[in-house]
Amino acid sequence: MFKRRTAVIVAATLTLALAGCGTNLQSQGSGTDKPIVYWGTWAANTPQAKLFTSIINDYEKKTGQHIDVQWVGSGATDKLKNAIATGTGPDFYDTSINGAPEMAASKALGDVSTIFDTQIPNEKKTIREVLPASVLKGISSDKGPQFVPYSIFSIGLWYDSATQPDFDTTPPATFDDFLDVAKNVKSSTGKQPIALDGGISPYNGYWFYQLLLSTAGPGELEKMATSPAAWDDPAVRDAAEAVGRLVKTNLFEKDYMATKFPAGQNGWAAGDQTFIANGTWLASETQPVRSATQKPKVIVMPPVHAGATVTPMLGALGWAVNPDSKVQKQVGQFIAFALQKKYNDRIATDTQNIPSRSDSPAPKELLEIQKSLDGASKVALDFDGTGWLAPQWFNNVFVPLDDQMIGGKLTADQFLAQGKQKTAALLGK
Amino acid sequence: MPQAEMPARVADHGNGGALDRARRRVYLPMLLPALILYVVLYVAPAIAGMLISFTTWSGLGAEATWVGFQNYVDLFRDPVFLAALGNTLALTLIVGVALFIIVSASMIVLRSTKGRAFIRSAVFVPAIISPIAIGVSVSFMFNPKGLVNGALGAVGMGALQRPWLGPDYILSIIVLGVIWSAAGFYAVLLMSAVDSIPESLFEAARLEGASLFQQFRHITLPLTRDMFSTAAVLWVIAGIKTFEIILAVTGQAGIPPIQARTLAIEQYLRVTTGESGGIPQLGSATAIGVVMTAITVILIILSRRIARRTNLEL
Repeated sequence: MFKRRTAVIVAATLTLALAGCGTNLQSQGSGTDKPIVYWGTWAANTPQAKLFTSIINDYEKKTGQHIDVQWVGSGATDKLKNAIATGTGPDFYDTSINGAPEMAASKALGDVSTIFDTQIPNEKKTIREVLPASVLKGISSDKGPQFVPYSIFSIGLWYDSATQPDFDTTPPATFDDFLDVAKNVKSSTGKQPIALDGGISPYNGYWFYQLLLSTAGPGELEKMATSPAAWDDPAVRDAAEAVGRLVKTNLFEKDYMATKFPAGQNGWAAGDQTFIANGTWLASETQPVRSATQKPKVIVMPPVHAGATVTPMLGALGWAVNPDSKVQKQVGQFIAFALQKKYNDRIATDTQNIPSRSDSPAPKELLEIQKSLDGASKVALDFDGTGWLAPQWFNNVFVPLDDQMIGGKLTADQFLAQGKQKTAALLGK
Repeated sequence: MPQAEMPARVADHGNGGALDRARRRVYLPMLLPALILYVVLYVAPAIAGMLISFTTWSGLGAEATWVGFQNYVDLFRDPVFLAALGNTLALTLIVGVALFIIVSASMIVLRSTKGRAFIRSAVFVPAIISPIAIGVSVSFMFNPKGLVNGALGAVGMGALQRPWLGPDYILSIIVLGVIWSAAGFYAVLLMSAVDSIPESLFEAARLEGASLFQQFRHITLPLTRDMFSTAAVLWVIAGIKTFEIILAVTGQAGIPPIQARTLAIEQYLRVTTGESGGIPQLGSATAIGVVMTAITVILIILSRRIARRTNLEL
């Protein structure tokens, strides 16, 4: 009798517990609609996660719609792909220009074209109308926009405005002019003027790629990945030779190819070096270790040839939609709410990054880059997108050769000759 | 055992005995759960892995395309894969030899040293620390402005300062880190075998005038050969899949340089294509896994053949 009673209690407890689990997973919302599930790729204590949590709280209070947010953190891409493929994914999630092709290949990227036409609350404009044309172009594939950007970023030449005030008014007209300034800094201070974390290959690659954008424009690196003949292009040679002059002039910090990240950028932030080529995220990354006297600013890399247009590199972070989501309309309404100017402005003030809206000002350190992106007729993707269009070439041909050139192991001539030969070997498989 | 009982026992084990028939009846039901688990958790994934290695596939949601042996052909034509293969074999061999020397020295010195229990525990500590932590510590020590270059400068040996984490030295630094991480485990493993050797053998050898090295060569080594063989197998398995410590030394924010890539790192890059946001190449990555398994099996067979001798019994 006792045993039977115990069994009944255990069974009832298990049933209630399982029922509780079901409730927890399926109907947490207090609003009238089904809750919207959002997976963010930020860690929970980051400024971005805090900002979005505050926006979500405002939205829930305003509409009664519940948003179930999970901060997935690192490794989110695999978790997202697996969850969406097995029907347990979120309704929307964070992604980027670099991450979108991988999600699209896994059929995890929903169509957001109608979301772009959603009107932003309290403003008589749609999402499409508040974003710069260059950003809309950059985040679109041949099938249209891939996600809705909330923040954009770029690459450029960082300097300390406190010690280089001339850069604010008259930035160097050419790359060689910049090298002259750096040489003067070296001779006057006795310090190596340029910082570089040489262990981070993309940071090494920024030098060549930014210079290539000024000699050949966007798309040239992609040509180099797909055609050995592109390595013979004089514009490619001009960029490689400019890198050669940079290395030969011996301006980088000592042992720059052997630093443990983030030793290089922290050295720059502490004032040990004056210049560094890096992303627009650098100011927020180095804020905790920055010298009190430093006034960091970033400009697009000066061109190899005077007067040439330098195409800015565009990166973007934003919200993508699960193609299987049953609440896509509600997702669109939330995204429009979150893209109100008062919230998008806070991408600059709260996270020190560039907001996606053209009327939301960037932090003062990044204003020049924002101007160049907003006014650009063309933008370049990160390394022309070769990281996802030709990953084997990018990882195994371009990166090792570029690392060797920036490390002084290869001359510009050897870089070009080996690049052509190795690209031909890879494509000839 | 009385001789008269033998035929009955033989009959039980042979054909047709009642006990034998009963055993046969329960044999399959008893074996089945373990067999099902083994097939589901090991055999099926292994077969699936083999099949995936004959395809190009970018993961769940994408179509897999059958390409036969093309992934394997591509691997052995790819200079980057061949470099990773060379690095893996070099790392496994160099660290293996270093471990053998360190462990042998420990067996000579620690066997009779005062406070050996404490020393043994102390050398074991790195084995319980995460390889990531070891790798990060090593990279901070060998940073250009780190402990090693600082110490060399402080003692007037500045000429020996090097950019240790640069491409020219990075594999050597990783090898050092792996040795630091693994030596304690193998020393403790082998010392447990030494403890089972009767002290009287060493006493007799000492009376005969044998040095510590001679005692090691003629007593310790022959009587711990089986454990050496086991340790060699364990190291081959661990060495071929060396992974975390490399990411920690080279930094997760970048793609490890080719000079520092092992097969496991190369496999990881093909699954994730590093930080560049590329499409995963799961067929190629799985083919690397199959190659790693094959190399591990070959090295295990080789190491066991080298260590194979007639067992000595005390």
